[in-house]
Amino acid sequence: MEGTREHSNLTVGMGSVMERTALASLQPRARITGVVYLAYFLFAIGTLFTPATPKDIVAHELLFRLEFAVGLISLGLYVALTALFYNLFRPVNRNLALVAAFLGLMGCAVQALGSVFQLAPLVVLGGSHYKSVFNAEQLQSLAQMLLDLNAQAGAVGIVFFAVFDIVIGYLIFKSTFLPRILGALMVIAGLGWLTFLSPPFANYVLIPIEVLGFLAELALMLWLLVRGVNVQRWQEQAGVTRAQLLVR
Amino acid sequence: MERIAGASPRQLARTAGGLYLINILGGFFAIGLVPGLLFVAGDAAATAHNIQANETLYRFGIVAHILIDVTAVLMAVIFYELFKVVNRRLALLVVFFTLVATAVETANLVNQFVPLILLDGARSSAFTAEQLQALAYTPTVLQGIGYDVNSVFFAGYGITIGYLVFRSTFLPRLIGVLLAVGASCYLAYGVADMLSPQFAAHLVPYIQLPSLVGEGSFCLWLLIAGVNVQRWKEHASTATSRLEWAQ
Repeated sequence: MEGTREHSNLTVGMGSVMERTALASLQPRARITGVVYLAYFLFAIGTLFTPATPKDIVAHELLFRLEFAVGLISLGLYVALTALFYNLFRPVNRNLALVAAFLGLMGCAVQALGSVFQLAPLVVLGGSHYKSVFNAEQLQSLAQMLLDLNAQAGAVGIVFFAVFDIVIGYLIFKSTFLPRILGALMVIAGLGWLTFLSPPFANYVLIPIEVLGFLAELALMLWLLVRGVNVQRWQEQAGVTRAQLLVR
Repeated sequence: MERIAGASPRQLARTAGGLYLINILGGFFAIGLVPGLLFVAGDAAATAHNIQANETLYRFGIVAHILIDVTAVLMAVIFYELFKVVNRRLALLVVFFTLVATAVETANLVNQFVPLILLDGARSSAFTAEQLQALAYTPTVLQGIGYDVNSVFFAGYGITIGYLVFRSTFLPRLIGVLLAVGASCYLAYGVADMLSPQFAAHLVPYIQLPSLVGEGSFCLWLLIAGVNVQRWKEHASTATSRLEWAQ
């Protein structure tokens, strides 16, 4: 039913493929956003089991490498999600939607760069040229330093995603096509993630912040996936008139 | 931005082609030739010696790498202008993937300065010469991991722009297919190298050929043939008459 609502008033009176391509921009594409969001969720959940110590990563090397790959693919999906969110919320406030997009891109870039340090410990611990010149304890501490750098870069990235969440939450709140409660949840989740400005403090309150962050995004993802957005309201907010959709 | 928007599509295509050529040739020098000449796989001492003996070449490699990253950002803006008439959203996605990939690649270049700092004999150090060589070798490995990281974002760029070329009608469809296939191979290699470097080593250089063919043909077509301006304008007029609100 939702699907027909998204398409019904657009399939009328359309000529060429090109026109259909142009009209694609007048669609919120909420469902596709939900699907990419779901894919991101599935990949991101796969990174929750990362072995934490140098000993663990050597013992479970393939698992560690697999989660590295999964984490990166989730970041790639997040870049796509950032673009989809920009298009979804542009009708609400174009400048703020662009701010959110840039914040999301910064978060992705910082975390992707930090992930270089995630794989580096394996190189240090496994390379023969290290073993011959450093003793085991030195290599362990080198590996631990690289892992800590990766975690620190992750925390820096989270700060960008925190502000991203707050801006997206505000845009949802101001939108007429999504429930306000979803926006309020995103703002609160974003404020929680902001505690990563001080990782030691964030560690104190980590569980509630993670649960809140997970639930807020889960709710938004499921809503987009299952309900989509109110397309008519979205088009009204975008200033799209029926004339633009039908007449040429 | 105004002047770019006002430029003719053919000018835009030619400029992008020229920048792409600099990008490919500079990439061959900075990512292929210089490391190929100086880095000795698994031999930290020989690598350290080569970098010290050819410091100027090594530094030129870094400079070339920074320059090609700059061309990537410029190309992203031009590609947005060229392809927004096909699909504005996907043209924006091309820009987003390019920005993240380029930011990661450029920031990762900082690692390449580590050998120059560590191997500088004028600085006193608490490490032995062998330890310094081993530490100086690490960035060459981090560089490789950085390319794996980038493969995800680069694949997003290549597949998206391949689709846009395919749908464009003002560029040959075949080039779009080649770009997407090349990007997929690049991603396959990146993921393989993340999971098992030993296995991934068997894929080189064959896995890199599709990407070279795809990007090479795209670059040369833009540079020599440009785009079919009439078809491009048909797209543009359809897009603007419908989407004045969106500009």
